[in-house]
Amino acid sequence: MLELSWTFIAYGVFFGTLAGMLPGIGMTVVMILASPLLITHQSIEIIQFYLSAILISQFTGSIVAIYFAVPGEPSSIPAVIEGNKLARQGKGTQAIYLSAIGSAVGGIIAFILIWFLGKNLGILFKNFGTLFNVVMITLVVILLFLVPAKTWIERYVFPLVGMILGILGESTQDVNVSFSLGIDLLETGVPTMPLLLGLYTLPLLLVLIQNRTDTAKSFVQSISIKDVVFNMSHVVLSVFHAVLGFIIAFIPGIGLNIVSNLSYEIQIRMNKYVEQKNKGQYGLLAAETANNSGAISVILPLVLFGLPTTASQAVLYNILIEKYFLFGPESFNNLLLNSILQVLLVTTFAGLLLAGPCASILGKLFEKFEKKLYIFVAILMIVVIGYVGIQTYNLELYTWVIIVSFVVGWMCRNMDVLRIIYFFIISSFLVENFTRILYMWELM
Amino acid sequence: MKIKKIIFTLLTSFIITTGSHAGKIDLTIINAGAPGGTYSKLNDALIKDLGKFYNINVIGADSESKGHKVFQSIEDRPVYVNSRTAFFSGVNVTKKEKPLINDSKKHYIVFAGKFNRAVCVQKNKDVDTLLFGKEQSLKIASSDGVIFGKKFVAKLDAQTNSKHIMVPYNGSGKLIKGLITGDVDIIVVNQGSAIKQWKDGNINCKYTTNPSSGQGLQPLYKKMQDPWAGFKLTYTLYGEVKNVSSSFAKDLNTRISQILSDPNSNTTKKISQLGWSSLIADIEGLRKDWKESYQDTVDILK
Repeated sequence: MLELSWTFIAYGVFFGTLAGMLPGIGMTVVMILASPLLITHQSIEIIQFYLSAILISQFTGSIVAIYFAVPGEPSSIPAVIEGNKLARQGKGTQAIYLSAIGSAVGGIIAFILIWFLGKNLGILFKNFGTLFNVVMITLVVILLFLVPAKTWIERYVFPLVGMILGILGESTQDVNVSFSLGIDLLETGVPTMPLLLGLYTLPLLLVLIQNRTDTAKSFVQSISIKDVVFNMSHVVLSVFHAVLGFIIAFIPGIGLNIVSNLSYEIQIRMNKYVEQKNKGQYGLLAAETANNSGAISVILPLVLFGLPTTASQAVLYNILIEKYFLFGPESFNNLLLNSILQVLLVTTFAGLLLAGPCASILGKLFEKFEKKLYIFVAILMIVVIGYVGIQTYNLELYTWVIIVSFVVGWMCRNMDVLRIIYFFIISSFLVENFTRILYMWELM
Repeated sequence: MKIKKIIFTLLTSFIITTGSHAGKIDLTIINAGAPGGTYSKLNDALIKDLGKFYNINVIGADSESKGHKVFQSIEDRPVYVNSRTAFFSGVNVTKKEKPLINDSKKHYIVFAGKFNRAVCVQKNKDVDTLLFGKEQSLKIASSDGVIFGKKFVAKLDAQTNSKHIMVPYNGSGKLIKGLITGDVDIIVVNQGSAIKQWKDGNINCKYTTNPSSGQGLQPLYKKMQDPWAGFKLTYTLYGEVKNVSSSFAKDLNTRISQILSDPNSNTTKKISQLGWSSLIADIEGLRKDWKESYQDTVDILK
């Protein structure tokens, strides 16, 4: 049965193109921007939106990476290294198509794997409750702490600040209890969107607007498909990296960033046995294929266990929680599975078109409007969040949160403030499950 | 572009957006139910029906505590909210905090929607064996808060000579998930949420806190040796309105009574679908019911 929401997939394609092509925007910003649009719709439509946006962002991210040496999102760094090198050698079309076809193969392999594993995963995970959540979230926290941080503030203080902010408001266990640090305004908790806007997005956009005075050199060229080569070695490699990416991305806390770069690193080591002329192409193919298949498996821990493993998923999680979405086997049913599979097919095809034949058009648009787009996005976010503040009668709280978090975000603009946000969003999940296990074990 | 100019543009956008909200409205309704939840569905139906009589502006607050915060903050226009004020006020008094409604001159109660809890266990398991079996130690989950949940378990322990463990949850969806995944053995859950899962065969339900039974469930009070389990306490969502004259409140109460008396209204259909019931009464009658419900909560939690 076809359960596709074409409107939401179209939104996903549009927002995913923004996320992929505008450096710094990424899926987290896209999810915040789209939140007011999503919140009134069905959970399944929201998931379809997220899936199509994240898949498209993986396709389009390589366009700016190859043509302008700008990583649209961190998972496009290998595309910058290898893709732009090929573009400089006059092989831009080959790089663009290699990346687009590789990404499409990643999507198809993910489709096949989900199709085979999907229903069994649902049955398997029926047995995983609070204890499993505790183990998973502990693993995620450990992994997050293992991710290198530049300073001790980023490593220890940011997670702590995020946790404290996250547990403010209504208790995760008891409707009659709330934590507010004695500030009345905080009795209902810190709103996510203004915090993200002030702490992360606005400082980032301002830095990007400031720094984009020196336009990167463009290698946009007309696409001529007859020059493109995609042979058997490309097929074998893309299948291998698609499977690898799918498996790695399933580990909670990994994220596409690591998936893409890890696949690339593995390919670099394998390249010792490869002809010099193919090395760059294989590296590019490895990264692009892995991040597209990983874009699907990375969402499985969220849908199956209610465990967000990236900042953008945490925003998605917040929206789905408000929709009373039952994470786990009850929701991971045939309807959702079919929906994921259909979105995967449709979006892979759309992505192939965008990142293949349409790549030069998108590249030229990016060249022309990049800086204006940043300003437009910044204004749009302010307007959207101001509107939500008014609609929810939280304008005072929203204003304070934006001001305070913007000051902190601007001061820490060279640091990884996403660590605060990630811990902020997972803290309620973490506290809820740890507290519940204490009750279950009669320790509370 | 200069950074100051950009910040100025952003600031201007914020002011224009926030300043463009002007003009009085006839009735602001706060939807304090989580989107997709049963409260929210009832609110949506009532909003649709009241929309025939009022120019309505809806504020989504997504939880009862947020809903109250918004309700308290609005002083310049007629505002309406549905919430379990009697229950929360009773719990607050037990915790030596202020009740939610403490000034009857400013607040009018114009609606009362009564709902129930269902008692459910995992599918393939027997409710009676688990709930009323002697000398057991099972995990019982409730979403009414720690104090209330412990009270329920204490009553059941006394009757069955058991030592059950109370596990608190926040929200019916999580409760049902906890039961399905085996975290807990018994749940006392919003009947409206439980019925669908029961009919789909995901869980097994038998009792309701509704003394008059309903939706294929049996009244719990007949099995529990305590009038409280009747439940003498009724779970009621009260509709409060403020910043209005008494004639405005009476008019609103009359409109709502008309809606509740109409079997074809959206609200009546939704109430029936969720297994709820409503109390059709005037403002004084609803205030009396509120006080009784509040006192029941206080008595139970003593």
